Amino acid sequence: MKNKDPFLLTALRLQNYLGRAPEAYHRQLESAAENLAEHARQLQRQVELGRVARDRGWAAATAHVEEAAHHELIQLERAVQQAISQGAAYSSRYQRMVQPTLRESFEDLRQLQEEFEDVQLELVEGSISVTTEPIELEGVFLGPFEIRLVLDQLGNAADARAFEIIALDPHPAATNESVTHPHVQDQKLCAGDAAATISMSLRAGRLCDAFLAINAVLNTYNPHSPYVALDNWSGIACSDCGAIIDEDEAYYCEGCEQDFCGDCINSCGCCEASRCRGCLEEDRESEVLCCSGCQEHCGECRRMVDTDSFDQESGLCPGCLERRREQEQAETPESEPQTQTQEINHEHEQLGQQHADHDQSGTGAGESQAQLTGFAATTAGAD
Amino acid sequence: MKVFFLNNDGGGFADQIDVAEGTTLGKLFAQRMPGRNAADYLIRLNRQPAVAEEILSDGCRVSVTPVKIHGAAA
Repeated sequence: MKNKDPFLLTALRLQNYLGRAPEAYHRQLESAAENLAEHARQLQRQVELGRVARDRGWAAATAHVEEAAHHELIQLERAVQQAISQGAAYSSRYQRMVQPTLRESFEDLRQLQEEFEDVQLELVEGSISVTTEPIELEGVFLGPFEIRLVLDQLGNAADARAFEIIALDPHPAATNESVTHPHVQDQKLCAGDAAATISMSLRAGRLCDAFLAINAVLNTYNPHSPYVALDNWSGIACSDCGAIIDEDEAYYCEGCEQDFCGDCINSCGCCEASRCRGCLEEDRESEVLCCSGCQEHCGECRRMVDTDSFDQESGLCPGCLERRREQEQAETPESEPQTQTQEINHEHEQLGQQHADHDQSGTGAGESQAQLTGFAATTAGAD
Repeated sequence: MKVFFLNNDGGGFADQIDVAEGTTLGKLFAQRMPGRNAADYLIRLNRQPAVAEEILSDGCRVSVTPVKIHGAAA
């Protein structure tokens, strides 16, 4: 072809795509035709078998084969009814296809150039793209978008799904990077009220109207049904509840290195460091929430103990420490009285020895006795 | 005379309609889109922007497309 006008070449190519029924419909027709042909073959076979059986006078075989033929006839009738009902359902769902003329397709592409500043025709890839003006909705800047129609997609879905909406200067939602526009996710537009217009335009081969309808959706905010509401577009998403919060109001958890809102942040009961609930563990006895740095483990029962309750010297939790002390005390009463007795006996021995010394040195027994008596008397006097 | 009228508001229907001789683009819009504001639409006559006073001719193509359409979430 001598004419290298990309608009004409694209219009020629469009003739293969526009005004066609979806591939699914063609597959459905092929499947119905194969099904009918198979039942017809089976019926023919049974009829031939019946003829052979009749010729040979096999009454029982004839009856059997004729019954089978009758069954196949019923199956064939059902298959025909099914194909007709599927066709009727298709007709009610889809309007009659309109094949645009080459001139209409060409003029449609030319009109795209009038409506949009940048129009790209990718003949090799088979796509038509336009670029929107930078879009700002309710004070939120979203940037320009590329609206790309992939021609091969038209065979499967002649509706908004055939388009890709590509953010050229992405300003995605804080909560979801795949949402680049309140009504665009993963480069797909949820056309909402424009769905019928887009579909109808594509089926009638009016590409420019479909592009304009998509552009109208991109320039409109529907607060009742966005992927992400513009109110929640920027800021920081709480890693726990997902609430959007201002950067200044966010709390940082050093444990998991994530941001949290005021409702989801907590603090260590020992060192008071800010932590999210997931980075704190509760001492089940003291019910104190501890960060990883303030967690100890009892050397006996192995449970986690908050560092304030933990006895560093023994390496035990309060419960195990108390039990150990009780155990030690329980052992003490048997040994202590014996020690006291020994001490008393020892004193008595000393006194006895002194007594003997006094006796030997000529000191009267009465003196020692006096000492003992005097002590007793003093005690008695005190009483 | 006949005018090919494309209303992309709603279903996106296209119709050949009968229009009286001398009908202007603005008058046609008022007839077909009662109560609507022309500023809310891209109005094209034979695929080109046109003024409201433009007189329609037999066989012309008029399209009306809203500049704002509510999208949704899937």
